[in-house]
Amino acid sequence: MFEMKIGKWKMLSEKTRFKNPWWKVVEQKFLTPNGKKIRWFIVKKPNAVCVFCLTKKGKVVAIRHYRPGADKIVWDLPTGYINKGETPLQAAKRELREETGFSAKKFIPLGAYAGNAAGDTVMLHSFLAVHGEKAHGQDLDESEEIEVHELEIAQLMGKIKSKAFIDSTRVGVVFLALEKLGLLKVR
Amino acid sequence: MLSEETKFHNPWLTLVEREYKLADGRKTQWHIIQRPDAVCVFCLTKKGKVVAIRHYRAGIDRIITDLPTGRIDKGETPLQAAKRELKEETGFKARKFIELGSYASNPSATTTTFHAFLALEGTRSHAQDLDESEEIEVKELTLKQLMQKIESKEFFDATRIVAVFLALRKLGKLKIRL
Repeated sequence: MFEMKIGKWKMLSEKTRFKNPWWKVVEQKFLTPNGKKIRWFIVKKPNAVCVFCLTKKGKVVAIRHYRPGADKIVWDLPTGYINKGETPLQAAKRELREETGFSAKKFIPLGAYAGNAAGDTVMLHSFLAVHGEKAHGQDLDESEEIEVHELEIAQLMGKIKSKAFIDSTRVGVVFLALEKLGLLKVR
Repeated sequence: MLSEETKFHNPWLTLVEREYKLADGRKTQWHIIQRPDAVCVFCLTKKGKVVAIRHYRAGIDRIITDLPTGRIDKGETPLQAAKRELKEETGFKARKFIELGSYASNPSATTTTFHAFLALEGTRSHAQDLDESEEIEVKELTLKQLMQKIESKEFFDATRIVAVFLALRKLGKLKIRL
């Protein structure tokens, strides 16, 4: 429709502006295909996983925890960073077990999507886990304080609607999981 | 929260370091990235097509298909920003804007809220009016084409996938069996 040249940008320089043990902020300078120079800030983080786990009774394993960015206690799906040397599937199994004590018989990949394609490097790998059952106690990291709940799918949809479940990347995973389960149809 | 210190600040991004006391008394350090809130628009044309864009995303180093999106400027409401971004990035305006809700783009480490809108009866009425850093191609896609691009990961940003599903739900095109 329009005459605009779309292409990858060429990175001219990259400088680390901030670093902590988990991630860093880099300042990058780019040259675009149309000859413009652009300054851009990117957060480089490990990729993450997120698990939509259905129990044997068809309930969703949900968690509640405090999120400092939003300064709210929110409903969420079990989630976490992929450790070095781990596959996304291994991380999904580990995070589900550590955060909720659940294990599941089968993990089905729902795809990897960008958490924030413009400003982050993060890819979120999402999984549908079925036949979940509580097999262990929780095994939480230093900074984790997590409550575990089993929700009906209708309850979960209600929490999305009321914004008690607020992380948009997770809302996307819920829809992808319902689609995979054949519970969601696009007309 | 026990303390907060700004480590880094520029017009696009502010990074603060906070120290928290957990419910059980332990202390933990946390870094928060503050970016301006953003909007995203799922615009249907009069012919029922979706106004989509293609652009390079530096974070993931890929060209992706996307929905019109952008930051909310100072003093703007989310609705004003949605109308402005749709017009600037695609040249489209729409007769009606319907709020689809506001969600966090990453409540763990950012304060950013993301406001999604459904726009109806879109027509192309202007030329694009792009910011310095924007290079954007405009496409009209059928819903089926858009869903295929989600499946093939060409439409790739998780926050935008949510806007698509919320829009389809609002349009009555999405049935969830419970």
